[in-house]
Amino acid sequence: MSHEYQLTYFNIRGLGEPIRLLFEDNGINYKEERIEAGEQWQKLKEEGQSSGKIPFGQMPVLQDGPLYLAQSGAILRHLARKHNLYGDTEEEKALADMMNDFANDLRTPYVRMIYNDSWKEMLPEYLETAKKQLDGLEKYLNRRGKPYVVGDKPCFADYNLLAMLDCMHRLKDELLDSFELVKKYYLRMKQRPKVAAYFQSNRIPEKVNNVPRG
Amino acid sequence: MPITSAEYILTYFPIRGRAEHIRLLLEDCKIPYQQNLIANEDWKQLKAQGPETGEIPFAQLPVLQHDKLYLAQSGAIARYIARRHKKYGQNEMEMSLADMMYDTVSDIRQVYRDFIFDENWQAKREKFVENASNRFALLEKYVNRRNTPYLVGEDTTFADYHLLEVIHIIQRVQSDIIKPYSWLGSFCQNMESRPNIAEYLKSSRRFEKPVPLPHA
Repeated sequence: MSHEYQLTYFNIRGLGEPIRLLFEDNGINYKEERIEAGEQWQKLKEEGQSSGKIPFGQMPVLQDGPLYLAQSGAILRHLARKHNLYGDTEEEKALADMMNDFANDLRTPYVRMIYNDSWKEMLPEYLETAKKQLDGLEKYLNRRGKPYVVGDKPCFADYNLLAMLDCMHRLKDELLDSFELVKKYYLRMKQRPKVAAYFQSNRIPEKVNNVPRG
Repeated sequence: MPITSAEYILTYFPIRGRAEHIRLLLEDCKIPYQQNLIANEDWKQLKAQGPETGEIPFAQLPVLQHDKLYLAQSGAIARYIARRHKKYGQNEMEMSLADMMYDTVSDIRQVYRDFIFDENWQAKREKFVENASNRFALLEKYVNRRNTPYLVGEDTTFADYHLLEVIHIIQRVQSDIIKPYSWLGSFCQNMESRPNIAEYLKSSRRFEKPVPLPHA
């Protein structure tokens, strides 16, 4: 039986990117439906809430057989359980959850800033927040002493972290430079052969956000 | 995982906040736990030291200590306890739905948080209530399709305790917020009358305030 996941999201990196990175790095077949923001999305949103295909009026949504799963974290965990990307021990699973949610905490202030028309004025304060967060990550990586965020191989949280660290790196080249382990980790993830190939390919969305910046 | 007799130690402030749904889960399942309540005046130092020692990995609370594990992020804590105490769904699909529901409830909580901490909250109240109500409406629609007593199935999951708490905190702003939604109304009554939850809600262990603000 041939089985294919379908990911429905905007034609941007955003919340879809950790999922794409997970698929790509693990050679998992997937289809995409990329939706333009604006009229196409409004239509799909309305129809999707009635049909259950867009259960909570938001994307990304993963279709896996009869299941339509919303929430990027739920999608990542679903795929992680199916493809052995959730860590091996109880402790590793807990840390995977923690680090995935930490990656979401990296995203929150970034998104708040980048989608704001006064983003340039917000940038200095954002960078201060980002540095404090990266300091926490640096200390964590140091304590954990593993090449990936939970262990010796990537888990679903690593893809979320990679996506966010890439956003931050694009925003300000040198932002990661003062954090030695963070920088090494970021490059380690980005240079994994299938990840690197994906970044070079035409599958990776050009736009990171639904605004012309970032 | 080696069997440990270590107890859970939950570190948080003496408010409901991000820890409450974890407390509800622990209390409902009668899981023994200790609380390490942090006074405001002690937080500054703890926050600074925490990432150094790893005891407060990201300078935020709540943190769950279990044996040698120091776990931050309320969602990670809820899932860790849920996994260990059969509150993560009965099958693969229920597990994924539990994740989706939990995160959907988190989104509603974030809307509450943005409102309650806004210094202009009075002006934003109406819009907040409308937004929250619309989100509850979507939830109502989804669960009615599935027709189960709890969010994902016949038994509670970690997502249900999170929903109960979010309904409660929004009811403090608008007491009839879930009145239009019959599944949510039954769910709420159902949860509140579970014996261990009923007892906890009346107990002195339960803090009154979701967040330390007069209008919350």
